[in-house]
Amino acid sequence: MFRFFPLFGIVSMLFLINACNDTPNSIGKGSQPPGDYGSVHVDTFYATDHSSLPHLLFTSSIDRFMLGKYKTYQAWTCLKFYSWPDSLIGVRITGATIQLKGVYHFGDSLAQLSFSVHRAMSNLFLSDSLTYDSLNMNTVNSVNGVYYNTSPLSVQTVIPVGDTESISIKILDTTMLREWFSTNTDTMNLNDGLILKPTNSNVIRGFYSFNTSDTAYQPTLYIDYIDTNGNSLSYSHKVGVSEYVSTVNQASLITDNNLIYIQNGISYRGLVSFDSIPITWPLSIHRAVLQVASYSSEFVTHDTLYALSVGSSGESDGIAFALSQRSTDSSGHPLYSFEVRPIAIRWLSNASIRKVALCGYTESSSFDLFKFYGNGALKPRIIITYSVQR
Amino acid sequence: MTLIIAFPSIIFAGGSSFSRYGFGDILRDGDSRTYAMSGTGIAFIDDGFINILNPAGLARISYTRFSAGFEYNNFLSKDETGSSFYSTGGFQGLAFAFPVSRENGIVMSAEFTPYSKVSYGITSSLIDPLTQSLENTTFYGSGGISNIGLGLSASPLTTLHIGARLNYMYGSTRQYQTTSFDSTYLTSTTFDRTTYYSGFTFTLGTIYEGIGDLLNVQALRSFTVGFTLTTGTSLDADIQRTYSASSYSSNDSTVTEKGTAEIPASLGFGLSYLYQSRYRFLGDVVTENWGSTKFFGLHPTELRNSLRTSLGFEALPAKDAVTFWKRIVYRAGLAYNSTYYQINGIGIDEFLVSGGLGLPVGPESQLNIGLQVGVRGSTDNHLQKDTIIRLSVAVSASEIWFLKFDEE
Repeated sequence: MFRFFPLFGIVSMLFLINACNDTPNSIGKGSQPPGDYGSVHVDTFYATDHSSLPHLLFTSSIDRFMLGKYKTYQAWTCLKFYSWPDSLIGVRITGATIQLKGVYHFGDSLAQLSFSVHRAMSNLFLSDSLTYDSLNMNTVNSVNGVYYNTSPLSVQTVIPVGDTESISIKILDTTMLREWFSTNTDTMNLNDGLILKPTNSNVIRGFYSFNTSDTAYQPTLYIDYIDTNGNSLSYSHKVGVSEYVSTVNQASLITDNNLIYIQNGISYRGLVSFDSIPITWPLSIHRAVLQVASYSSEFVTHDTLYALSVGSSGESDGIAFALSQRSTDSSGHPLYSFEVRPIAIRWLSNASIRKVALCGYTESSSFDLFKFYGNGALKPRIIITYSVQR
Repeated sequence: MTLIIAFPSIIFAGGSSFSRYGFGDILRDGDSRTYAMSGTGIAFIDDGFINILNPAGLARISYTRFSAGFEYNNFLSKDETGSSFYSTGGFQGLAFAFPVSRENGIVMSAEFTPYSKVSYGITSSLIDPLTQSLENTTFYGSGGISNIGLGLSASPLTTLHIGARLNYMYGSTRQYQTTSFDSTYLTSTTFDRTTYYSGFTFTLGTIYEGIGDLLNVQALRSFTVGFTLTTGTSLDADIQRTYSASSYSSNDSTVTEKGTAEIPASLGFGLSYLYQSRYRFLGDVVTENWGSTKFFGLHPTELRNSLRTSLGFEALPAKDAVTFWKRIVYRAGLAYNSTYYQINGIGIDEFLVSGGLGLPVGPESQLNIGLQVGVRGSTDNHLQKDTIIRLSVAVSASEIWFLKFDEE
């Protein structure tokens, strides 16, 4: 029997070579069942609930920090220079000035910026959990002055300047500076930086942080000193870290429960629920567009928003996001649209939480305020384009 | 061998779109010898082949025998919009049989044959009325059902042969669909529906050669009749639907559903007449009640009862033929198949003519070549008409295995 195997193999190879050379075309389309085509559906579903939730900002990694007061808004700055050269240890300091380069303002551009400078008493940059409330309270376990020395080093008032002008802060406490300089060799960690606390003002100003890519704009500490040989020298230092904490009176911000508030710089995020999407899973989703209609906006520097997938807490889970595109609906209302197919798939496939968070594109670096309709005919909606195949 | 069993049919989309329905095209050509006679041979009993159509036909096998072959299919499909040419190649089957007791006609067999085949590819383009976007959809179908059969025959009388075969049927059919749009906003998707089948059927058969004696008509002494009954069954069917990149982690979403898919009982009747020990005439009728079968609890409206009638003819060489050319066997056949397809309300019928040669490649071995040419369906009601050309090349050979010989 084995003598036939070569013949068998040759014949089979000839057949395989000749087969399998076809490209599908439309012939036979009429004999296919209509159900195979998975007819496209476009359905609109409306939000079932909305809210505006505070969100803790992590501001130590952005390219600016904020300082000032405006209405019920406040922003405090934490600023710390470190990594000093050993050559500054033991010198006699004759002058010290911090220079900050402006980049932004929120409020009255002509208003004076007044703030007090305090020595920080604990390392505020160890975690990202620092809040305005804890810093303002400055008390832990009934011990006052935990975060900063309540006696200011100085009180500064800056006359109105343009957004991009620099301001200077004189540091008169040379003892503190010498302690900072010695932190490279001293194990007592005497350098926790400064707190800039706004006093009376009607503006919040933004300044470039150490994270800005242009070193000319980074905060700079200028030191004039006399070295051990009696030489008068100058030194500028640009190594440090900064962050800001902020607050606003919620009652004065959220005045209408029919609206969704998105407040950058604090921040408040809009949270929209879609708990009623009666589409049976699984299916093929070709597109999902979230639309929110604008009620008004204020102080907007960047007219763009993010839509974020969220977990059960309402916080972003980092899985999906979409940027807005702005248009106008047939009634003339500004409309923000988001391509949220991944989020819709998540909702329909297995997520018990069918919510999406809305936040500003410049959430940490501005105080833009967006208000959207949360109820009524203009409430948020999602338009899903899908095919059903069974 | 392992490779062949693992891939009983080539998974490729290129054939008639009719195979979208049911289990696809039902293949009923039997052994390579009956292939050239349009699959006719229920009443056929002979030493020289393994009768896959009727296990009672094994009873005369006197030496260990095997057969295996390949088939090449051409489909020229035409509808109201145009025509297209498809081709596929595939394994036609493998069978093995050996006698246990030649005196009692006890022969055992093992067969591995394709039962059905799905193979098609279709494109569709339309402007979706809702999105106003050009929607391009491509459908592919592939797969089929295979059958592993274990058969046994016996001859309780010299003129009566009976047989039985246990059939394990398994396989999968796959429908794969891609959808894309000319709008960049609309994401392309794929949908994959694969159904896995498995189950058993049982084939009973008989061949009776004593009609001439029974009626005492000398002319009917070479006349035989055969019957087959294959039981119906509900195959276990697991359907798996996969939607591409449709989970929140961008992986595929897959859902499975368990159910059953029914195969109806098959009833066959055949006649055979051997004239002057050289010219064999055959006729078969097979009916199956697909019209009441259910797939996942529902009867597909595209299936109806099927009836297949066929005629076959074989010219055998003279017993004293010695040369190669004189030992060639010539075969021909006709078949009219009222298939189980009924699409858009129109029954799909198939007409086949066939022919072939049995080329001697040894004392008990043949290289069987069969050609079938047929037409199927019509272009009425937006359907298609297939012109079918099938070519089969198979080896049928025997060896002296498993036989006891007296020691000298």
